[in-house]
Amino acid sequence: MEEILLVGNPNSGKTTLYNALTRSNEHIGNWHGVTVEEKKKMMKVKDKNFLLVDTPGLYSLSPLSFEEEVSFKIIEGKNYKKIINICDRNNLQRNLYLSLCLLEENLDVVIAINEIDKKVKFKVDEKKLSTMLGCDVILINAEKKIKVDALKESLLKENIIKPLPYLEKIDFSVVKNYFKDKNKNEQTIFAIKAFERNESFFKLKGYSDEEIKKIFSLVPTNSLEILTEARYNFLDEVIDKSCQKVNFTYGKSRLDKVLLNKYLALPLFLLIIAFIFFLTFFSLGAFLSDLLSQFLSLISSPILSGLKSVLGESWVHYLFSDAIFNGLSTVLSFLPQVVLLFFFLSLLEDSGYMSRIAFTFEDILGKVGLSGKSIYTLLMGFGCSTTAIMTARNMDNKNSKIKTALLCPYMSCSAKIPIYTVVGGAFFGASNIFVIMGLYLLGVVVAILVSLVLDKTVLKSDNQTFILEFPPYRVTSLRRLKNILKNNVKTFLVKVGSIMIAMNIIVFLLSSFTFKFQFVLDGNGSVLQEIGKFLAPIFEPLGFNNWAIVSALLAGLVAKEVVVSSIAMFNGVDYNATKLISSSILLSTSVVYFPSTASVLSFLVFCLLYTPCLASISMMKAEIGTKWTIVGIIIQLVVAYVLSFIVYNIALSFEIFDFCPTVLVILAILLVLVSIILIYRLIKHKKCPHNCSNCHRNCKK
Amino acid sequence: MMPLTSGKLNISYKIKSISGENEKVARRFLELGLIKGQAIKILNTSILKKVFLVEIRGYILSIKADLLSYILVEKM
Repeated sequence: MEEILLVGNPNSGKTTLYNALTRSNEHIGNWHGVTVEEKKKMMKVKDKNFLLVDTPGLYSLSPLSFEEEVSFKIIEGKNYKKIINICDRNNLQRNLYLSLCLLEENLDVVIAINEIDKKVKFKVDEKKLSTMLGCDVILINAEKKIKVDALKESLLKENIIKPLPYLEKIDFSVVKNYFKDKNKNEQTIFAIKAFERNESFFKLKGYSDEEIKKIFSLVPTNSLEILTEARYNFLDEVIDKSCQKVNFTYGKSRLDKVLLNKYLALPLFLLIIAFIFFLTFFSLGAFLSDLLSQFLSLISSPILSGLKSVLGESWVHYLFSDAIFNGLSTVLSFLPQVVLLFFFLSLLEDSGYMSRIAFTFEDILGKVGLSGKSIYTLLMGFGCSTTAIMTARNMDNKNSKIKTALLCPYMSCSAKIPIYTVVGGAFFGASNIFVIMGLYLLGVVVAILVSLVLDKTVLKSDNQTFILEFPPYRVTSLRRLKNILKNNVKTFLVKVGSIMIAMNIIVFLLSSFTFKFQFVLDGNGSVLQEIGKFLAPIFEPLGFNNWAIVSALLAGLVAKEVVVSSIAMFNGVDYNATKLISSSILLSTSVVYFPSTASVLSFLVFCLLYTPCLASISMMKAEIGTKWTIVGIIIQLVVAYVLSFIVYNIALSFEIFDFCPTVLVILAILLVLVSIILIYRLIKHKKCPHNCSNCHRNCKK
Repeated sequence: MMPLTSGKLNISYKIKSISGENEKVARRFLELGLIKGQAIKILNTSILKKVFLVEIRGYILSIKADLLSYILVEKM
């Protein structure tokens, strides 16, 4: 089947057009580089079938990044019938620069000018453009599918290739002479590539480094400047003649005066996040979650009682009720939050606000090896790590995506609150609030330190996206909103839900069977308990070498909400996670488990930092791959163990003075101070004596 | 002549030259239309002034300061 290429600048609407042409549903976004690899799909034009290839965005045919290299190779492979070059009307001149590069190579191109923003009164004369450039030009609207059919029809036409006038003004004779064994057409193309100093091109054509050096020595030193100036001067003329000039700056908005204001940017951002947070995890989200779980129990109770009457009190009944139905309802209870979060996220994403956030926080977060966009994901982590990790996918590059996802679990998620309130409350009473605050702070500090370490070692931040285009503010269309929600809910239910339920079943089997395959109801003698007993000595240095606590921690792998109920269960207390437990009962029961307040602190720190729930782990696996998920888990376990150990020993030594609850706070504050000093020192390096305006630390003067 | 990083906000400057010290960056600047004689304006800076927003040819770019200093400008 013949291929048709879809080529264009980043964020010019290639994937939108791809979706419109092939009736598919690929992810798009209002930022740079959503498409990172080629995608192919069948497209029908009249009765002919073509394969439409979506390529990552590029600015010219001299690739600088990995994604551009991908597109460049596909274009130079010349294994296709035609190229659709999509241009953003609002930034037509810059977009046409790529068109010129394509036309210079005599490629068969049809230019599709995408009218994204209707409001901008910027008229383009298709016919004039078409005659000046020597190829078909069609004004389309990819999102509303306006004139997409006309574009399809133009694919069947042959283009009459016309030489571009500005090329005649450049003296290519010397370098053309070098390629004299090639035909005339190729001579010009190779000469242009020499002027571009396009190493990738000559390497692709099989030239050695020495030959390339020789070719480049034949052109003037400022050859690239000569060529780009000629191209842009031509484009100035083209725009002048074919477009109605309007004086506006694409992407500039009065809103930025407020949203990017030095003093207002941060408070406004926090306000917006707090609002989203509140709606997603508390008011609306919690309400919908409750409604859904009530509905689920309503329909599941007759089924379960029916099962019970058939199966009796057998393990199969408990498998269905405790493992499968519970797992299902846990997955579904996340659903309203996922939907809400992605509703807001897609609004933010498409609005162009994310790029502004990235811009505002880039330098501060850059110091700890994160990118500006990470801040959104990390703040969401305080609500739910699982959904937060999902949002890490909109990072600009792979390394920051992995880093951000790995750091999410250190933001103390809302599921850990019961542990802090019940266990902490039982021991610390009124001063528990300080303990909780300290724990939250500790999480953030640890995240910063882990990020710094990762940044200096395995996950260095790369500066691929050093120059970014700033998108305008846009309002998301309902169709797009629907698509984003549909895709994300599907991923969540299929990828995360299936793993969660499977793991739920495993943990259920572990906690209700002995090694001799005997079914136990209260967990006594179960495999989980045995493992807990086996692992307990490892936690001796942390102050809680009790099997029940260790088993509870193991059960907490499923969901952090289970930790408290497990401790109670192993102690014979009927604890129902949905009911509020009076801490005094747990206090009396857990005194047995926690020999001292120091061990409680250590337990809380361990709960804060150790491996997150199965849902987040499976989400992490889906987003950043198995390797990094395992690395993340190992880091978390090590960090949790070491810090718990430190906290336990410090607290133990303070316990003599009966000083315990404040210890953690002091420790956290100290850590915060240390990291602030560290970050401050990174930011404020010594002033350069040479007084250059832009001293960066790697200045070698 | 001065590097654009020492320019003031919202004032148009004319590009005099682009240092070729970093070939990749110089190439990208040219391709994005930052050629000699072109008007350029700083619209905003990030909190620590490590990232700049500049207006060029009717659109906006966000560029890190160390790269921006390769662009030498003079007042219009």
